[in-house]
Amino acid sequence: MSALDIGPAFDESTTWDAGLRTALLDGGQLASWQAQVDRLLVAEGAGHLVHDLPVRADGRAATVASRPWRLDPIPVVIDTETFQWLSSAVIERMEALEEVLRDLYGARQLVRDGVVPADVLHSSDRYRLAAVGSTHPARWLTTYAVDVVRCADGVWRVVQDFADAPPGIGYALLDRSVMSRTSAELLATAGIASLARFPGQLRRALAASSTESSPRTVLFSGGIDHPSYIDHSYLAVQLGVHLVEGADLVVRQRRVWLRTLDGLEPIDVVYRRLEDPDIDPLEAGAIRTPGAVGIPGLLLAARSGGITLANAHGAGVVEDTSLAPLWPAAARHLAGIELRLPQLDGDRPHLATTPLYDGSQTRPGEVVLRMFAVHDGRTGSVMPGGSGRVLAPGDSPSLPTACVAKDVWVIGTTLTPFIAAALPQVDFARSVPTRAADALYWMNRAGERAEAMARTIGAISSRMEQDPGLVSLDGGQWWIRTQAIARGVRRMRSPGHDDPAELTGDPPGELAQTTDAIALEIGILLTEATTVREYLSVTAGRVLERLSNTRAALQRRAAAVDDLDSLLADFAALAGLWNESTVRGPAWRLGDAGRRIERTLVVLDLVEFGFSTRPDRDDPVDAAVLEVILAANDSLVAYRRRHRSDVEPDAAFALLVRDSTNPRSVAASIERFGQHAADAEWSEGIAIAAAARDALSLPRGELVPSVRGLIVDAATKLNARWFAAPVSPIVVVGR
Amino acid sequence: MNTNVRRYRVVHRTTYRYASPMTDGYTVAHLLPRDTLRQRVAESVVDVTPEPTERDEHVDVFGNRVTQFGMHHPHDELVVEAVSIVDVDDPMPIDTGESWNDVVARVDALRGDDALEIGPFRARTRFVDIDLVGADLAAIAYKSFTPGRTIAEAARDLCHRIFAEFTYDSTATDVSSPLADVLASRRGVCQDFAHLAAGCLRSIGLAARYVSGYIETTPPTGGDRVVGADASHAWCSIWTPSAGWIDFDPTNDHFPTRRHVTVAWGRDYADVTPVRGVVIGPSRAQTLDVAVDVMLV
Repeated sequence: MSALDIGPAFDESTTWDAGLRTALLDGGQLASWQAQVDRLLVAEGAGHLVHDLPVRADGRAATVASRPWRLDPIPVVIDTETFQWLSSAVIERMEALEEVLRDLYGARQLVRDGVVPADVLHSSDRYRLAAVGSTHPARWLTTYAVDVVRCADGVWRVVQDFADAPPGIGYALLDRSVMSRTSAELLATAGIASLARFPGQLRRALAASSTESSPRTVLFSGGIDHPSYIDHSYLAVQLGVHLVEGADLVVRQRRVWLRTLDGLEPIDVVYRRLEDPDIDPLEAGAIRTPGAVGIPGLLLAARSGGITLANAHGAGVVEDTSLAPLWPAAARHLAGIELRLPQLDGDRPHLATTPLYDGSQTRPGEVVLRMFAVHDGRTGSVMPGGSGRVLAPGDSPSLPTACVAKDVWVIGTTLTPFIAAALPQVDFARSVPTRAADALYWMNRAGERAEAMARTIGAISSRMEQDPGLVSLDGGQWWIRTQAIARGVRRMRSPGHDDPAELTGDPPGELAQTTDAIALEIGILLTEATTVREYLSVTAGRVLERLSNTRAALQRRAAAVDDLDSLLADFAALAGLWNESTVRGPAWRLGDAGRRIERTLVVLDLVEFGFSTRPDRDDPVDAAVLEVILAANDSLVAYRRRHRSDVEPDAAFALLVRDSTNPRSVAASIERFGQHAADAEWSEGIAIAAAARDALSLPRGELVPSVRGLIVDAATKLNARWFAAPVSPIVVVGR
Repeated sequence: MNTNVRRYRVVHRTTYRYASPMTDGYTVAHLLPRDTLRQRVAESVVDVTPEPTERDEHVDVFGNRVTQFGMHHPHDELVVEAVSIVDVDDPMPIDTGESWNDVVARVDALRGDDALEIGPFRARTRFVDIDLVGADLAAIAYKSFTPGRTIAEAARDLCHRIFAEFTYDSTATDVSSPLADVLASRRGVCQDFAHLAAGCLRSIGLAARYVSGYIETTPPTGGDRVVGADASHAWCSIWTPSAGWIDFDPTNDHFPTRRHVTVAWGRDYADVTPVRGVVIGPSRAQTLDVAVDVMLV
């Protein structure tokens, strides 16, 4: 069929005024906007539809394939009049579907009257029998989203409804935040509606879904392996609520509790981002979407009113494609509502086009528009914006394959200034989910270890560059002992690690292996950091992004001295932000305890592997090796300033281990660990820190194994006391 | 009437043993028998060892009794024992007047409470997937459901043909086997044959329930040995306008059922799984042991 058969193609941009056309479609500007948008999205961790961090601290590999995700620098533009018509149609639809749900899980008049055939309804696995006849939730749909398209005939049609866990609010807010940095001036002057009110409206709607006056709310995500994790985590930060995973919540006495460092805390509203069949593995027909771990017993709690689920369990039936064609008749039957937005049906429609930027020029393309609504029981509100998805040629509007989003601008509005509602916010300094503390702890341990490896290999490389003769010094003794240090800091505590016969590696090989080990530790750091973004500053996000790029580079080639310098600068920045820009509280305390534990172990590794067991004051190798160790601990300058002499083992050992005024020493790390234990009133930790402090006065040979034993024990006990990592549920069935 | 009542005592014990202790466990059980038009539950209790931390009971959408409990302390064994005393009437004589084609038309036109009570049992479900294997199921059904035949006669014939043409084989399938496997191998257990019968009936537009329960262990003197008595049992129930629901057991070729105790019914096995649970702990070996004893008292 040619375009002529349906009349002239309608392009949205023909309705834009000249100023907007010039501003948005300026070819010269678009390329730099695109570059800026790409960079910002990547910095938010949203450069991929599913981010591709490969390793977790527990060794579990992320399995979901990732696809690059981009944002078109040209937004979808909707005039106010159109938007107001659309949003009232969307609210009308949301309210009609609310009535449909209330009936399907309550009186079931639609089934009795044959409007919805019982067999079709009961063939749908989205119709949740456990929700039928339960104590009615206050609302079925607290949030709702709908995909719409404008057809070539100018009529807006519905592609699909999202009523279960409507996805994309986080992405829409994120996209706007990115656009507002690239097109700040335009957004300010062209009269574009702000999205700033929407998170508050969502918060209020969530609060209204509960009978509690100020309900404790969590955003329930599938965790880092879930395809929409970025959507979830960005939204949690905007809402100021905890992002939790299945293992963070537990059902007791028909209530839902959050595992925190202070024990179980009651939760009133679970804003679930997982779909009905994923939320309770105990439920018949429970399935597992990759990354989704449900909460056993959640539906029992929901049925008995101990928790409010938003949206209510069962709301997903609205999305069933075999039932969706029945909703207009159902709305008419129940409430006499004629839905204004017709359903898209039949063949692939001709859609109106809108300008896209394809990297070199603008061209007309087709877009699906997702609109978001919330309802607090009295009023529905539609986000004055949304999320556009570009359709690849031939795509069904219900399944866009092009991973390109568009921001949505409602133009020509004069909105009243937004006044933020005074809702109680989560106090991140006090209430800390166990898993978040766990992640911060491992993030810090991995960071400290990676930093030590980078500094060690940097110290070795730069010395070899300055003096290539070192490698063969004293029949290769310097290189043998230096290798031992590199392996020690890589935690290669295997038999033979100090046996010269085993230390036969060549410098490039050692460098390559250490580079791999650094990349692995950075991977752990990034994975853990991604799950606790709300505890880290925005600047920390940028540093993490740089680390991620460096890690990618390290996976391609062995570290060059420049890479190591930039890594060390990033680690220093991260450590600085950790100390200066993180709220001090239980989360910070446990994260920092992890850093001190790892630092102690690193110094002990350096000492154990690097110090000669037969020290000789005049041995030139000994001095050269000790210099590497001091440099690896960032203590060489301190040593020189203090001693102004050649490096000598006893003084070096004292500075690295016993001197609590050296912030990188074992003594200083133990002191700080002890302080954290005391602040947390953790008696086991206090006792271990005291014992370790005492052990510092032992002779060198006894000190190292003794302190190591105590600190390893401290790490084990810390895990058991504070984290006790919950395990994924296992389903068992008996005939 | 009293002479036609049998009193049964049923003991159904499910034992899980875990190689290393589980720290937390949640269980849902369909083990308490329900009252029906043909049976009255005199006594029924579910004992759990060790003592669960919490316990709930509710009635599901089909009227079945559901027991749910949580075991929030380390345990390396879980024993769930249901003991019930149930009085069961002999079946009523069946009026075989109506043709099955008329019943399909009736089922199509159901409204009101009937639509809610009967309609759900025409559904396609995971275990009775009449979309996936509907043509195969209908081909089997139409051999018994010839045009104009009375519904009871046709259903009795279907029951007999499943019994005769399929082999009972406890090694052929497991609790998650789809009907396609049963159709291909012509083998299965009571659960499979109940799904098969329900699938045949639903594929031609009739309503059929999956029924979970027990069958008498000790046969009366001279009676046939029954199959499926050492575990929980399952069968099928067909809806007719004049006689209501008629239970029949294709595993034992009983039409209608005679020495059966009903626990629960649903669209398929997943709706009424006797014991289903989620445990939290190390992913190690676990063993499951089920023992059922049904005695006439």
